[in-house]
Amino acid sequence: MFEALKVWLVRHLQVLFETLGRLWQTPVASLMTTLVIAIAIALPLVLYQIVLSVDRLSAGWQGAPQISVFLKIETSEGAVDPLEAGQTLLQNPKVEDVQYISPEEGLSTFSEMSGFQSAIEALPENPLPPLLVVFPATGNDNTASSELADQLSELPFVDTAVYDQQWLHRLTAMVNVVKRAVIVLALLMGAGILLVISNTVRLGITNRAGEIEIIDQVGGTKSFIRRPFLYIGAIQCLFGALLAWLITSLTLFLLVKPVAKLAELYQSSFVIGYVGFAVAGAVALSVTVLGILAARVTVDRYLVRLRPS
Amino acid sequence: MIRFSQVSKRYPNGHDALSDISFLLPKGSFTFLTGHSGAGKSTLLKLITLTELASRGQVLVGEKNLSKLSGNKIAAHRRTIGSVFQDHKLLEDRTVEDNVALPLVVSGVEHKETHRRVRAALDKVGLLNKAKRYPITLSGGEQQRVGIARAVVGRPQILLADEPTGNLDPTLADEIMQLFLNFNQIDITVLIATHDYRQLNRFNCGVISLSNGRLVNQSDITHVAEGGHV
Repeated sequence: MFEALKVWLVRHLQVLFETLGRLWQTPVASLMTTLVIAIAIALPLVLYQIVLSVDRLSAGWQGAPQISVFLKIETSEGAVDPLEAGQTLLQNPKVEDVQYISPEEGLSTFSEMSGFQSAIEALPENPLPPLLVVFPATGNDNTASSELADQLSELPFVDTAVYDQQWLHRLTAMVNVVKRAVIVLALLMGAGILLVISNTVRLGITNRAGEIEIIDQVGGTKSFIRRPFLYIGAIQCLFGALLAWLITSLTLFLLVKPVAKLAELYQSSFVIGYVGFAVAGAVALSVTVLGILAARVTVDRYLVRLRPS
Repeated sequence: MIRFSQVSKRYPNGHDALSDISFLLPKGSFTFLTGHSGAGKSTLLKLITLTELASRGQVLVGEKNLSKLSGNKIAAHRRTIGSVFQDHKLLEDRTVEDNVALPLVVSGVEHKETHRRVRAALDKVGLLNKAKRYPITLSGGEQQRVGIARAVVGRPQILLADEPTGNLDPTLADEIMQLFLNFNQIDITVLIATHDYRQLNRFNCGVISLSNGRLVNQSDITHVAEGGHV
């Protein structure tokens, strides 16, 4: 039993090195196949990584949906007390919490962040209205939050109430479109890889038709004949995946700086992450399995011809 | 033991290669298969190696009914047969010893044992000193002997040869025939397709003659069978 296992293992190692040797003998053809596979993997992978980064960022924002309620300075019934107004809002069961930002606070934050400090200092008076930031009890329910904002703008002491998350939902919808595009692209590229491997294996079979015939005649089993071709599929796909990881990392590296610059201009903490080992490993594994399957289907279609008839 | 019972083979194009063939080759017999080219000799050998399936009738090899075999059992069946081809069918990109080792490699024989048996087989055909050479550097007769070494290295029960001396001069042909006789001495059933009538007359053994796919003569088969190798 142990002996049989050893023979089996030795045979697999032999085939592995034989296949590597064969690929090495035709370096240009092997490299081109590997490159095609690598690019087919890298393209959706780069897009995936960008979408993932955007998604992570917007998820961070989405944590606390809020409504900005801008108060009037005074109504027909006299000056508005922001704290009293806040208490009124809190009585609404749909309101979870209210935070008051005075015009002075607003102005100092604004001048800190926008860099328009000198321009703001030149203003004769603070143009900002008092602001109540309302956290709805409805949580992430977009429609309910919008309705609450409409309801709050009806109040006599409220100038306008703006539901801030609207644009974020538009962004999420856009991200979803791109996500779907990534999936479709990945499927198409997967089909491309199948065809590339199938073609490579078919070429290999043609080149080795004589050898296959002899092995068949001296009693080689179908799996014995199949094995080197499965290794071709596996090795090319594995190397393709590793190369794809390199290409992806390089592409993202080239994007990191300009994106950071762009994010800075928007006061955003947006950063693009690199593809992690776990994702890279999972991609390599699934592409390798794909390569083996493609090779197997191709060889089996040929092996049918060897069956006695 | 090889038994054909009313075997016919019709190819998909409608050509009847063999019609109603019946014979019995006892274990350890030595038989020539003869007939003009196109008489069906190659087809008959292909039915034994299960490269082709009989359209009608039954081919029995040992206890096995060949029409019942499929998948890995076909491969296992072929390992019990050594085949020698007129065009040698050697792999040009592998050394002589690697070519001879092939049947053992596909059977999963352990490396040291493979090496030992390959050397023994090459020794028997007198090519031990050319183990590391490539087939292309050998003469026709030597290549044929590599083919024979490959056919016997797996210790088959049956040895089939399709025109093994077809391309060789008489002296070399006699040497090759002597090799087959040697293997027959160790109880291997030998069946050789040939139209070299000189060889038929040199040996007193069984002959199956085919003409247009029909059996026309099967002289001496029982004689050889009774002659001692059964």
